[in-house]
Amino acid sequence: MELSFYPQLVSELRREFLVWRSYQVNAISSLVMWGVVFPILLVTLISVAENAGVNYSASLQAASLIGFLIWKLCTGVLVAVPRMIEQEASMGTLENVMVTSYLPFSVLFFFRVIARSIRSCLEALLLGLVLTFVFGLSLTMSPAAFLITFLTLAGVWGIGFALAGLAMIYKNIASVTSLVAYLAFTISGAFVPINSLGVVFTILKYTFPMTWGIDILRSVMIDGYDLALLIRNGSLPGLLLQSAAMLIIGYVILNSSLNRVKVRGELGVY
Amino acid sequence: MAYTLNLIRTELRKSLLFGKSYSVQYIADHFFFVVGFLIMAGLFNVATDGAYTGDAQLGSLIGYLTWRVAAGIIRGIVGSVSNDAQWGTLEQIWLSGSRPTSVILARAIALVAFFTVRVLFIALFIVPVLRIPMSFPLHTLPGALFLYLLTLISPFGVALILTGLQLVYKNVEALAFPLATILLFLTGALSPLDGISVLYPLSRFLPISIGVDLLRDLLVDGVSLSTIILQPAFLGLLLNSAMYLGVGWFVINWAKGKVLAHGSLAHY
Repeated sequence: MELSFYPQLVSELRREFLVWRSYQVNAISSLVMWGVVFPILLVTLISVAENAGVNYSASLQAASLIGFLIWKLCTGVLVAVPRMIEQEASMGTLENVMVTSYLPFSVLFFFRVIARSIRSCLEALLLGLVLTFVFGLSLTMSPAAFLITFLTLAGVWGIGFALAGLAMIYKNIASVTSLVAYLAFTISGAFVPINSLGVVFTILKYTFPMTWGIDILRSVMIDGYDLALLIRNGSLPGLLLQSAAMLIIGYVILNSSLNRVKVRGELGVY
Repeated sequence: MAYTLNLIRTELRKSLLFGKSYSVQYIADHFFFVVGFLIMAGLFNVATDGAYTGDAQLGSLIGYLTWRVAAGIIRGIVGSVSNDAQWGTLEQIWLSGSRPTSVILARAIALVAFFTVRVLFIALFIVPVLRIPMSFPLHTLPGALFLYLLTLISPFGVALILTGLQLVYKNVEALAFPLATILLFLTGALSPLDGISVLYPLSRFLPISIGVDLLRDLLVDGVSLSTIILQPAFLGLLLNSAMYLGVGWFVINWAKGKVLAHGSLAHY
């Protein structure tokens, strides 16, 4: 049974690679653009801090870089997930995909999301290597860091599924997705840690995707927290619970949207 | 003179009619720039542990609003020529009695007036929300206006360069948006870049950077206009403005000659 999933997963990975290869100029230029944008933003922030008499230290710069990379990774997936539905629907292939695949659509879609996530991870990793070198920062990826990154990404998958569900019903939700993605850059504390905001941070941590994950990842990569400590202080179980909740809610919305458009016969409509 | 004034009046009327026709878009745009600054100010405040207040915010606001007008001029002029080319009205304008460069100049003056009013409305929202102290004396305002207009000459030069390239190579408008956006960060519009090794010397060659610094000297630090005029930075501003205007003038005239000779003015 497990093996029957395998060819489909491989074909989705292959598809993602072929898409990347076909549009490699676009993919590379986007990566270069973000590689230029981050230093510009960080230098602006450093200059603001210096003019206000505050030293934006190396650890704060590292915190900004960690947040930026996780934001880049997560929004890369978050924006792509509903766009997969929008593209298939606009090209008129959404019905074909559903009818021809022997796997349930949600499983097939999940494989596609995994393929996209792997690509985004590789891009974020490359960007991270270049930027840590440019700013002379030292960041180490421990097993705990990998786990937190995965859990944060899993929560974003859930939001992506929910948005994909909305895309099935409303067809084009690109503006909503972009708004969520760019809003996340500021209010998730991705660029500037927002822990000092007290109750606002606590609310965002529990409700807004990425916020908690970025905060825990900073604790792991800068303050050296290990898994045992994360379990003891409740961060890891909390993030696990949050990501699971987001995944379940997203999955439910995706499936109910799929059922709704099937019942109304709107699957092939764009 | 009457001819130029008439052109300016016409362009101003056009801007107002656009504003009326697309009022929702303009309101959304206004909201976006207000919220954009508030979010940035919030981030800076958090990043500096609350030290980003008062004069620092005023300095940023001066740079932000000046950049907004500069970006508006660049995108407005290039966009208007691109729109004329797409609508097929570019040839009519260029072959009418008005000199093309005079039309562009009138358009730039109208855009400066239009965007200045718009950024004043942006300031009207931001200043009370952030409680930014406007402690500069009123008699500094004419000097500020003089420096402000001088600062906007170089974006006008950039707009002329891009317009010239648009005429010859078409579809250059796409460059105007990223170029105008990146100026916000590279010119030190949000925060002075003094002491940042590569960026500070580089910013001296970019539009608006010196002008924004001088405006901050006048309105935030209380340096008098007579002192500013004697500073080397003021000479730098004059040279910067003259350089961009000169290069822009050269490019637009070169492009004008080229498209008329090739008969490609109406092509898009």
